[in-house]
Amino acid sequence: MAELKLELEGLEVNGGGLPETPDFSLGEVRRTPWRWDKVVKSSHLTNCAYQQACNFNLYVKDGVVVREEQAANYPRRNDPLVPDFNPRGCQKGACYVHRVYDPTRIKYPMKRVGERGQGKWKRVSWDQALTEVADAIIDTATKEGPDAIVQAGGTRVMNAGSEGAGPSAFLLALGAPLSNVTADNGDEHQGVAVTMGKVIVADSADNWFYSDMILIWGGNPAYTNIPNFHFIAEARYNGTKVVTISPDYSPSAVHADLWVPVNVGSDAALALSICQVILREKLYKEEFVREQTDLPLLVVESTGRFLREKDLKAGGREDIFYLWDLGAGKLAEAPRKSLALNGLAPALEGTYQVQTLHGAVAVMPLMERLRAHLDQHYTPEQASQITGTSPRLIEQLAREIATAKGVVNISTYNWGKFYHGDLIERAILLVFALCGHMGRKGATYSAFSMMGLDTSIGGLERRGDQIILSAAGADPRFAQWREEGYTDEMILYEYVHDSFASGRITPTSLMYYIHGGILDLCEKNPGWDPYLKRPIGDYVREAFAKKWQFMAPGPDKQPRMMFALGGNFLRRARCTDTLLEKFLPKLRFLVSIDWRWNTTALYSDIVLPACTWYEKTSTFMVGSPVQPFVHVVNQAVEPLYDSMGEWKMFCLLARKVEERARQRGVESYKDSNGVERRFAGLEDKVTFGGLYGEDDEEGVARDAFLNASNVEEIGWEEFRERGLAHYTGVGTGMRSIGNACDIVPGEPVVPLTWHTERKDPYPTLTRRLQFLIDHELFRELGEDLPVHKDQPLAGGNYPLKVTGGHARWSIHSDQVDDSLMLQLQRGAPVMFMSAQDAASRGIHDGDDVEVSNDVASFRIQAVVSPAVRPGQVMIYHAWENYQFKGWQHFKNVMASPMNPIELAGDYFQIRPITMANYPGFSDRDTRVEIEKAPTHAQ
Amino acid sequence: MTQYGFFFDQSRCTGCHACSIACKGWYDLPPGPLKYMRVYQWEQGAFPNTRLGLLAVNCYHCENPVCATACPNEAIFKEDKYGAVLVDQERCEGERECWDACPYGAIVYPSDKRDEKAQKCTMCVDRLEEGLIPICVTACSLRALDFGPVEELRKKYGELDTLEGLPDGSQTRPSVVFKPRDGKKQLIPWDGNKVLELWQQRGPFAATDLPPTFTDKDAVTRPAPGTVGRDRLVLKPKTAEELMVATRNDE
Repeated sequence: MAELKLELEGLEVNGGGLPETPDFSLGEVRRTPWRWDKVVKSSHLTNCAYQQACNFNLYVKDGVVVREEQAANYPRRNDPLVPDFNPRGCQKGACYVHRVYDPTRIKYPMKRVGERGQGKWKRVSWDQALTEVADAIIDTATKEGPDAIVQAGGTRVMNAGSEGAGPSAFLLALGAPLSNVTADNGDEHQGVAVTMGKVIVADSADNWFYSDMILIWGGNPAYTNIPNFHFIAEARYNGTKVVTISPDYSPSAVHADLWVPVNVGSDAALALSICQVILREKLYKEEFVREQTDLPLLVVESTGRFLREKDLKAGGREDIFYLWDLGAGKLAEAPRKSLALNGLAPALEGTYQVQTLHGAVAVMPLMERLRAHLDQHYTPEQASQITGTSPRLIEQLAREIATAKGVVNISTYNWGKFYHGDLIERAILLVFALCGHMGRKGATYSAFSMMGLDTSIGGLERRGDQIILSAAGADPRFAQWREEGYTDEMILYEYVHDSFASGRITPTSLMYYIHGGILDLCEKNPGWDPYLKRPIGDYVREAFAKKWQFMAPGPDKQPRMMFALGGNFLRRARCTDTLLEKFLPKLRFLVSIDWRWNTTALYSDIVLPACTWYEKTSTFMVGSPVQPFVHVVNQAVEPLYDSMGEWKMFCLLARKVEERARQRGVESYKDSNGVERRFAGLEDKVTFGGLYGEDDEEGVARDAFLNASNVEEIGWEEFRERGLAHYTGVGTGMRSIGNACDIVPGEPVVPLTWHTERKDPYPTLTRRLQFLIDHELFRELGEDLPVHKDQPLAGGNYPLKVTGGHARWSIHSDQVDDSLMLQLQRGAPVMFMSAQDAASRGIHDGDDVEVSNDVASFRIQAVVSPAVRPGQVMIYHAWENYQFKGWQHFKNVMASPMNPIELAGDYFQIRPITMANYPGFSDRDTRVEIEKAPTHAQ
Repeated sequence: MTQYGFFFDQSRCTGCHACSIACKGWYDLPPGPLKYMRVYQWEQGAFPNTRLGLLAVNCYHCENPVCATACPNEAIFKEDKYGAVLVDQERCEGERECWDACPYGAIVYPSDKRDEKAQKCTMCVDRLEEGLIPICVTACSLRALDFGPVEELRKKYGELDTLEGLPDGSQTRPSVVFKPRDGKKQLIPWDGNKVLELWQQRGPFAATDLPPTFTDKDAVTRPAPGTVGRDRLVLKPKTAEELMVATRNDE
């Protein structure tokens, strides 16, 4: 295994005249047991998504965190029969203190003195580091505009009060775009976005306890939900059936009641076949389907599009749709301001004649068209040929799902990592919608799990109710929105669409595709997706010409400076070598901010030491309804070495930019909208007019908590002492409102009840759960109805498919080189392969193998396992590039072709929004061949 | 003395190692074979009829501690408040007689060097004195572990004192109660010829120039012996390296 080697110039000899910092020996401090100065409640500001976060006790002695332990002080649920959330906390949280005092920490500001990635560094003072960064900012902003200053945002930054506020306030004040990284992680839920008009929808783990069936389909909660997994065990003891659908015998299948193996990427066929059985046997919930979905809406038989008002009247609207009311025996306008049918009895079958502007046409409820579609293509026998699952099992599963009182799903962030993941999600959602397994206790479909503070911080954050209020006063569109029955949720989304259109928020995946050379790679390999009839470049040009997609800097400019923080994009992004070759040289200046030397830091020009989570005060801006609590991060010890929190760092940087601009006599620059911006006053903007000083990161976190509309009203000090507080609502904020439900502390979070009970319309074109997307691009690609499409041959025509998942031993790369975690595995990157594939290639467990396709190759150790499906290989993510021979990372082979369907726009719910509706990276379609690596030459 | 003991529910354990890591953290044990709590994993069968075994094992502080009896230096003793079996580091001379005697592999060493002293789970007597329970139990997010007076545990969870792959408890009388993993059966019969046919196909996009995935149904259902690395539970690995292999997770 390649070792991380850093030459730290000036450190060994005399520290370059800079002050010495004492080293710690954790072992020494720990020797005397059972004596510490204080116990502090805190948590880990990492983004472990579904499972974040956990309350921990930190034991502090002589200014050192000695050890930690789960606090386990979560209150009981109201229902005494339901398990509580204790103890929460996984093996990584239980040893985070090792990361704090680890040699991989970035101790000082460092400047690159060799080539990028060569590993030659020099320690510099904060003043010098900030001066160089400030000069680069001034150069870039004046010569190229602030939109050439981009952010490789990480998922961590948006999480945190003080950690996120600093960089975000700084970049916004500068006029530089904020990054949306969801789809370059492959975490987007495009299928949910087009169907529901939102992606944030999730329940709490105690809700699983009320279900008849937990459907683990597309997720591996044994790895990704460690603190929540006990709810699955307890629900099972309580009689809930646990069903796991996965190609491999997944770690989450080990304790399931039923494991349904499927071919990789065939899940849409399985779901649609389940729907076929449900329709054939009339097992669907008629009332739910009529009220909540677009299935009763009439479609024109000849075109397959919805019947719209403009078909019936001159000047009619595009967004008024029709039902066939069985009561009156005639056409009726579908209600738009509410889902309530008010006595209408919409038909779900039959064909009807309607007089349109172009004469009489035949129309039918979408349900009728869907039935024909499923009968034609997705009988269990047909699906079985695609999925490899027995027809009998498909029928059994369909009946069990349909007759269960309630089914919940666990799918985490899997489907976005498939090229056709949006189709898979639409198909699975159809199963849930037909059975009415939504918006009821114990019956929910969870997509993007997010719950966040609906709060205000200076000028950076505004509570949703404040946004709505100012819209009412100042936005000329507001009156019309209300007239058209827009919910608060729809209005908030309009502002997010605005942010994308103006370049205030930009999707980084598009940046890597277009500025990073990955799109060129797709264009050179048109055979990867044989369904495509046009070159991918054509679709991209169309999307920009029609203003379906937006990016900053635009396709005709180049990114020139980058802040990498809260993430590790050169580890994470697919096609690493392509980015190193095509993207990195475009950047004249790359700054990394982190507490550990990750891959991106190693390729950076300046590296700034952030302090760890035990050295700062913050709170979680974003969490998850899976555990409906907000957690505090209490500073337990002083920042080590020369590190500091991001809030302070960006306050100082803003001051330095002003200072350097003054010294250099540069006053202003123009942003991409042609607006003149001045360097003077930058610090004032970042600190919200001095509201929070550079040393007041606690103030930022405190106000984020105290100003929130949707948490328990307890004081800041009480919150700090307890470590956690209940969420009391979803608020009106973007981070949570998609859940669309009330929250009662102690009760399970059941999303979508505002739709199912209050009859609020969904934020979609049809105002319903929408399964027909009659967008021109969806029609061209044959995806207007949910269908199964075979996976592309990403990377070339090779026999094995690479899949993967979230690592168990690390949250992203945070713990990937932690010695305690590495000793639980093989200590090096591994790839799981089936016993059959190994045997036929002469490979044994523990052998080094060479994995290759048309894009690249890499070396890795094979784990041979009977749990892996023949034809599939698996690599759990987050290994650092330097853990591979020659730094050849496995993501290198992940061709990640762009799926043009994700370029669609200008269709009510299909417009770029945070976390969806723009092209994302995929990797589960990657094809490779594997051979035993030649043994080392002696 | 009240004999305290442990409960382990095998049908809850997912092998996350939070117990063993928290134990290492609390006692400042270095990475490597010094594992007071060991989480074993092994795999059986051929895809898709596969079984994954998981087992978290610590010392069960037996009523008849054969490790203590075996020690020539009287270094191992049963502490008289909680019934914890402890090693007196002053007396231990690293002769490894205790290791030979213990059927659970509870005695561990920092390395294979012959003079290393024996170490083992202490039942967290230091924590018990502070009114806390053992760190492995509090750390288990899966709630697969419990701790208390062993008689109370038996009332609560039953009398089962062994699991598949563990010795029966009649000799040492371990202070532990187990709940085994659930049984498993194959619902859909496994038809080798059908499988061969399905696995021949590589989907409609695959070019015809690729050879078939498999040509022999035995190669599909019965992979060559020795291909899989860890096909059985090795409760008492003989070397530090074998211990690391037996207690690592690479399903």
